[in-house]
Amino acid sequence: MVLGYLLAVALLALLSLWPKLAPRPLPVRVEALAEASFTPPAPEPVSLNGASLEELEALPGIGPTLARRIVEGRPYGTVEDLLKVKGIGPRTLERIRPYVRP
Amino acid sequence: MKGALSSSGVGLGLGGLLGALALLYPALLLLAPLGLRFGLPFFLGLVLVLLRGLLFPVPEPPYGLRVEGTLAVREGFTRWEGHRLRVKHFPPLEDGVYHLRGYLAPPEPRRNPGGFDERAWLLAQGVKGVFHVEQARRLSALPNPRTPFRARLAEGLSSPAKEVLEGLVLGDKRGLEDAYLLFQKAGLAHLLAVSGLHVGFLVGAILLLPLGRWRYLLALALLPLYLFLAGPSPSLVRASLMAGLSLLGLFLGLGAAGVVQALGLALFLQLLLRPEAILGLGLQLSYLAVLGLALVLPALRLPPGLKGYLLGGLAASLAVQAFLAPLLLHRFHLLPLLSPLANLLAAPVVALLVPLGFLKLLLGGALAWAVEPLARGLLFLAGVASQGPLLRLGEISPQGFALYYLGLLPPLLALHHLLPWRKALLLASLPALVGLATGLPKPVDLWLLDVGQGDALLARMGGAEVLVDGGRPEQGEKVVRALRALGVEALEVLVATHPDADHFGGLLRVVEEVPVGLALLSPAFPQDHPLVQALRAKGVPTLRPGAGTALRVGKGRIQVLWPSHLSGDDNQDGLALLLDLGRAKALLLADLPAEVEETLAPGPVEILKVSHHGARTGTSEALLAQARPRIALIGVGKNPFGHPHPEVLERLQAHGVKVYRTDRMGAVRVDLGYAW
Repeated sequence: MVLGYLLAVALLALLSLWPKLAPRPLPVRVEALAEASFTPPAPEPVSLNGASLEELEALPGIGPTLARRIVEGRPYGTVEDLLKVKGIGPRTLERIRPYVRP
Repeated sequence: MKGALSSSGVGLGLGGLLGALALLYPALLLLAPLGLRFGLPFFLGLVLVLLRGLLFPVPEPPYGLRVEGTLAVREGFTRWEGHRLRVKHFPPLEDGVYHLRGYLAPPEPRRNPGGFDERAWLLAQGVKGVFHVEQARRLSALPNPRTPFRARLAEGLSSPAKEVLEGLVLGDKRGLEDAYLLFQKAGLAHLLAVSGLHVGFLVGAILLLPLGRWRYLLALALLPLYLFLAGPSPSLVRASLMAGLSLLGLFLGLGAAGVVQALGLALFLQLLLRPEAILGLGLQLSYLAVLGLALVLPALRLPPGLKGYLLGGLAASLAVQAFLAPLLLHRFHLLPLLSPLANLLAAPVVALLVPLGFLKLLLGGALAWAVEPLARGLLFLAGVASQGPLLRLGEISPQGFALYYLGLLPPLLALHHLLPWRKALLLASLPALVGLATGLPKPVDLWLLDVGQGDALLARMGGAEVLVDGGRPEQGEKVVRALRALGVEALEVLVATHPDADHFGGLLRVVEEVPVGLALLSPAFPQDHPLVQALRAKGVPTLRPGAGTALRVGKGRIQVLWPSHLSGDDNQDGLALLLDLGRAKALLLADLPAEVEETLAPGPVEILKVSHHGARTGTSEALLAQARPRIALIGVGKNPFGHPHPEVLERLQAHGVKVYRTDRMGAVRVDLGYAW
């Protein structure tokens, strides 16, 4: 029993000291804590013709005023039709394009 | 002890434990032959828990799926198509029925040393999915049958007393916040998790009633009520199972079950119910504590009377401490040394408060006059005891745990007269020596911590630690916890490269919590800057070095390469550092632009901390050609600036540099071996 105890201690000593003493061929080793394996799904495009005011306001660069103008400018055949809304230029359009559909 | 160990309950428990662990780490099945001496029950426990885990695993919800529907949210969780899911929304959703829209994602693993491991925490509760809510509309409230009880518990109490009582009686510490830290530093935090202590005091109070044998049945009937009121936390389930077994035995006239026996049986049952529960800290602490009590106390011969009671209380507290010490240090990085004393003083107060609180759950305000001063007293005691000395230690390796408990074994055997004391101490000294020896080689490495969008880099230079920046202010706590987990008790050098919030912010908290030897600040920091003031308040010597300054730190060297002159622009006046770690050199570029990079001439380095989170203003072709790094570290999180810029990543790739970024990988460690 004592022998088994001594063996266990020796084994643990080897396990914990060896990685610190072993000669290493590679000077530098890199480890990462958490490898990303999941990317959140793209947000669902908001319908320009059906969305509520709230949903439109959640879009980047769209405030209450623009949201109201978008609703007033309905219906839209394509996303590009947004350009006819006063206050939405090509830059804003490009920003919100991934998040909207007609 | 021999008799107790050969009993079937212990065998079942140990078999179940190995089964649950083997489900997580199959290699542990190699230990199965050790169970031979426990015979059939051990293998029965092992096989049953293994089968339970393999045949009915926790189902994995379809990650990435968009979900929309009407769901009931209770205490932050919901149920969707048979999956239990954690609901994430800012601010947290109150209990109720909602129309929710969002997507399913896997829980986050630990991203920093000492960080929160959501994956393990949820898995211990049988949850494998997180519902990220993007849109929530509240439809109706959800009736909580516990609300009237909680209201009666709070009736007539002041706010601090109410919060202490909620923690003490129901194990609900949400209201406590800062006071919880006091309890933790006093070593009294276990009082706020409902466990055997509480069940013991409650059952003990009922057994004082003159009801003959029927008082056992009354106590037995109260256990499910308590489980319903306080919620089925692992420690309460454990305590209820054990108390239930004993009370049933007493009622039937069979006598109380042996504690170790009941403990093993309870563990087996709990793991059979859910093998993953073994990951839960509450369960681990609860079983280890009772194991300590059950193995130590029966071996002591205590004098009768008050002296015996006091000695017994002290011994119990010490036994629990001895069994929990490595786990507490591993998880909380601190161990209150006065905790046995604090517990001895707290015991009579808690013995009164728990039964009174339970009565108050049923009666309401009538008992407030008695409960209020007791709760206040306990809070006061925690406040005083929290000032006591603390033992601090970083995370402990699995080998460290094994060595500790191996070292505990011989004294335990000696206590039971199975081994002479002299031999026991000799044997116990061996693991202690090994433990000390493994602490001698000091790590040499770089840790780029994950602080979201921002930089925080810790360099361990063989016995001396250097922290360069600390992320945004709200990340300070994360950085402090990482330092504690890595066993960094004090910083030799603290560097703030420039006065941008995503670099110096977290350092404010670090300066408050961790002793600092010397602070290196960019000359761009004004005299009235909050960080400068915090450093002055702590009496930390401060230096504002320019190009050419060099310091010897630990086994390495810090060289300051920039600024050579001031321009008035915060980014441009940042500190550029060259760390010489012996085996490798690292160039840290803060947020410096390409014009500065081109003038640095650092010579070849192995590691580059990319400038400005990978913005296109830095990491120029000229720098890469000059420094020829092999590893690039980028501290970056979700950001609206498009960091890291694709052009930078392309340039790095073209030079054959391997890129490590914290937004994808969590904290990154560059391991450079050990120094003596």
